[in-house]
Amino acid sequence: MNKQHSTSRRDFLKLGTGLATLGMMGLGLGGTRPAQAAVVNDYKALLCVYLNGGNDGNNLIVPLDKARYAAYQAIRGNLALGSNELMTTPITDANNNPYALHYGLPEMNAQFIAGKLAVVLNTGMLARPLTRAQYLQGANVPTSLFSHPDQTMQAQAGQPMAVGTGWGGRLLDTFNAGADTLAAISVSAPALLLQGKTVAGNLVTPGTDLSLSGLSLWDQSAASARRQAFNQLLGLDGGNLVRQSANAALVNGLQLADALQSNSNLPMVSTVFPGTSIGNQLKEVMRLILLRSQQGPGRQVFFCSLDGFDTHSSQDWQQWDLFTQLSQALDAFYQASQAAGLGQQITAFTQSEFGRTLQSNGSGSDHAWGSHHIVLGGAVKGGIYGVLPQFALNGPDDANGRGVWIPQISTAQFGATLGRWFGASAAELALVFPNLALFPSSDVGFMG
Amino acid sequence: MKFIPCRQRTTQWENHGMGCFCGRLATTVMLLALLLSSNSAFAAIPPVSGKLTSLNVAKLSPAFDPNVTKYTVPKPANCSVPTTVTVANPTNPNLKLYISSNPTTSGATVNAWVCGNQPTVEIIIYDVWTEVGHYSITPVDVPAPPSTGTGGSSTGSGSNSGSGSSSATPPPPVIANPPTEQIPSTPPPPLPLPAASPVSKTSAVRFLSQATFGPTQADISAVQPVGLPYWMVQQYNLPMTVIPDGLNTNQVMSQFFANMANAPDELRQRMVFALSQIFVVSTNKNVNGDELIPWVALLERNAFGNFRTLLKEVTFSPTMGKYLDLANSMQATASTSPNENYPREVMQLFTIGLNQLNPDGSTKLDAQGQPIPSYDQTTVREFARALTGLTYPTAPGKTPQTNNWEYFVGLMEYRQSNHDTGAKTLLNGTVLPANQSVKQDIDAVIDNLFQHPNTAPFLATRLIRSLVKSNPSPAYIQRVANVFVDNGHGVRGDLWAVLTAILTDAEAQAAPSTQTGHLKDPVIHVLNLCRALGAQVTDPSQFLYIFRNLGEQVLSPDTVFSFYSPLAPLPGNPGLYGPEFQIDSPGLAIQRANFIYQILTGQIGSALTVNLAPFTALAGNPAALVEQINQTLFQGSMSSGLRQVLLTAVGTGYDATAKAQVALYFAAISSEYTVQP
Repeated sequence: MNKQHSTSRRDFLKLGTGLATLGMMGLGLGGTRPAQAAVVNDYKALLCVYLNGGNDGNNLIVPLDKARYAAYQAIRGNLALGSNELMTTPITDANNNPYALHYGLPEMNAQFIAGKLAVVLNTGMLARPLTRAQYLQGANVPTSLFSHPDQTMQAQAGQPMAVGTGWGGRLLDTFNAGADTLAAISVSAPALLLQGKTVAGNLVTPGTDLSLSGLSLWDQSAASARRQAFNQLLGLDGGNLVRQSANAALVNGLQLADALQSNSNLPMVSTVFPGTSIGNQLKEVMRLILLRSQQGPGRQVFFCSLDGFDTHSSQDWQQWDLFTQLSQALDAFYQASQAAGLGQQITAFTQSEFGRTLQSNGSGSDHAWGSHHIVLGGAVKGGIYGVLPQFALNGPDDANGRGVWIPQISTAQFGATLGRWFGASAAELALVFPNLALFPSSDVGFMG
Repeated sequence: MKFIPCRQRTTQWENHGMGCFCGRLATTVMLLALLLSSNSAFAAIPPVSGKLTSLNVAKLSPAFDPNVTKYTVPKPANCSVPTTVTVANPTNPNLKLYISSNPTTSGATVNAWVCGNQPTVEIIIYDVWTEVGHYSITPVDVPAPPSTGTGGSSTGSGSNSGSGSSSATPPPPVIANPPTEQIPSTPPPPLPLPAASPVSKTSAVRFLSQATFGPTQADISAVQPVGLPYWMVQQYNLPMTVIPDGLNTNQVMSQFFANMANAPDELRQRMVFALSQIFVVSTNKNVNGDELIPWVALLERNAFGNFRTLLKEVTFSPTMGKYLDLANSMQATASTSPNENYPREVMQLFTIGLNQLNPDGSTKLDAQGQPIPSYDQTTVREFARALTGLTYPTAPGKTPQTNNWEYFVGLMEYRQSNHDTGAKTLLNGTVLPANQSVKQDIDAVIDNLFQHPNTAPFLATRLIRSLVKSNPSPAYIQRVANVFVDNGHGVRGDLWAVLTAILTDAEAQAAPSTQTGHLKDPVIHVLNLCRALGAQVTDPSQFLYIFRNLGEQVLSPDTVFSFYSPLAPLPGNPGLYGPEFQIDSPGLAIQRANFIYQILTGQIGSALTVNLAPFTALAGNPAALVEQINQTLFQGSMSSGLRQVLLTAVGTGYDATAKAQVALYFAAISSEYTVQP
């Protein structure tokens, strides 16, 4: 069945594109440029590394000063990291307080020392700035705290409510990226983060060939006839909305495949990535970055994910295992971006649905709220940003008595800091993050 | 690095011969051990002694002796036992010293944790990674000191004001462990057959696409002369197709898929698949076959039973107990709290959902037009307290422990001593008084959820979305919910009656219109095709990885939220639901089509074969070939538009096989086929 061909795939896709604009309204392909769209004359990419399950930031970075370490140890109990479970070279914040990263993060420790890694403390979902007293009164508290799907949805929506779009997609909307099938790509699973009003999130799993089988055949006229028949197939929907969406998925898939194959010599990634799931994902991201960045100015937002952070039990070894994978993969990604000469143009950051209780449940920790995150890239101003919560159960930062941190930096502020670097104006950021204006600052300061 | 040779893991290896989660680590450990030991051979490092030279723990009993390996200490108030050990040759490079999973060094003090699932202090000496010595210290209850409290106060260390004052309040009544709950040993009696009532082919086909993994000619011939309720009762009375014991994880997944393709009790199998996406466990965490087999049996046993029994067995399931951490969840101590994972998800995903619902499934709104949450974090914590005190079943030949090791046959056992006996407030103002038994509290939790007004419309909506359509009318939901509330004989939660109501409803049988139907997910899509073509599905383990790439490897969802959310919007029409589209993004749609192509072109191998002869025989007559496809995949309902497209496609094939393949391929990935009408 391999009557090969390299014939007119492009001819077919012309037809496909025609179909898309004809029948697939509402999917955001070929959207018109909004009046306020940012004009770009360079290339930049953002990469969200989503830590699925709610990463325990309390053990990502640990304060080493005596008082806070003692409080940490007293409340964490058996989850407290000892000196042999922390990186041996301490890092410091702006006030010279010492901290140490988890011992699974040696590469990230080196990046911190090199000034390319920022640690953002106690960031998370907020409707507006919130004190413990206000929290206890129940006003302006984000809905469905502590629930995986809701907090995942909110973290990716960039606001504490259900909306059909994500902040990465909306950010791309401001760059008029709706017609760019390479603009918003997940390399793990479909992600709300990438869904914009005109930008549609897409999915390229590592190592897959997106060309559609059965369309390439010998004899140009037979190939054209088959493709034409296939296009007609995608126009049949019997007036049913579900069928329209099913057809649209294939039409958009063909467009994406075309974009991926438009360059017959797909760029090779020479940096060696670890053979882990996250390593393979980041390698695929780098390949897509190399592909798109060759095509000229533009913006890309990527989503990848690492599972297993819901450490209700067996946290100690599990988090070490996951951090090791994360640290090695991110380091390779950074090295590859440097090798490509794109170090200044790519920023990677972590997100997660929530942090975890400082208090142990015996062998793990439970769903909490604010957490600590890392940002890595050539344009990052390395350092520790934000304030560590007070390690006191029922203290001023604790929502409910188990060491559940009320965030001091909202997800909107965190995202807006990245968005400003990406090139969005203040007015555009206000559209991307509707509640940004309620916070005293729209820039946490970790981007150069 | 920290390779925790904890007791629990050792036991898992003994029990299952598999490394569970630790498999990957264990492999690394073994590789490291090989490397290290070969290096050490050159350096002539002496063997590590398995004897401690000192063991320094307050109030150790008996006094330390290097040859005595079992000790006790008084149970500490704060769950922590400061432990210091020394060895004869602390600088031996092959020495690894662990105190309760914490790597340590000779002379260093470790605060060993002795609560929760780690009730003892375990001191293990390794030569590289060979265990050469093992001591354990068990905390034991000691009689309370005299109330004058002369010397006893030093152990309390003033950390918790409430911990030492038990003498002021009367001791709670001692409650024995209630007897273990039992799985019913006999299947329910067969149902009497109702009167047969013939139905049209259209009706039978529509019904079978909802009630099975796709209509076959044999099914249609069976349903048409007798009607839907009659055929359903025939299905009810068939024996369950079970997964045999002794299979490993991949074999269980494979058998699960093969049963969906081939088993005679196809209605039960379809219901089990729907239930498995509501009540979720996953091979991500339930890594062994012996955890999955009882789980599948649980869903099969209860698929046509009562929802309360299903909910109870799910709650007591050791497989679920592991997946959502209810096993060995215990009452709060100074620094631990009951596990909230199962308590939250049982409300959010298994029974009532996030927001209060009307009986027709619509969301109740407050005066400001906002949804009203059905529970909050306080409710979760109260439920978590009420659900403390379950442990894994005691394995045959083992002595029951307060916290048993993992074992998956039977139901979880009560442990009154781990139960929070305080008063709790459940939903709708239900208060559980203090000092109830663990059985009384858990029963009350199950009733609280079972009786909740949300449960009927919540479950009705989920099952309708799974079986019939993504966007049911409120009236349809309400009709089904009403049957959940009362099956006509005053019984609440009768799943057989609910399933009958869903599949025989006029709306399920109605002709397709603008918003009807739902996208087939990859499993349903592929099974529909295989069954229609009479494919031989012999060894799914050979191709299940493709389903993983398509986002739907059976029994292996990424999270407790299953493969896709029943609340996901329809792309392009966010006012409607389109759950299955979450795993049909453009890239996945292409990959799914390519899988179909592989199947039709014989690229899967002997594990899944399709006989194309009935089609290739007609390749010389395109109209007849397309009509054969019409009869086989569409049971005669193919649209004229699709017929035209397929006729054109047939013309592009260069030989009989190619003509048949391309026509079947286009038909199978057309939206007329991929959307269940």
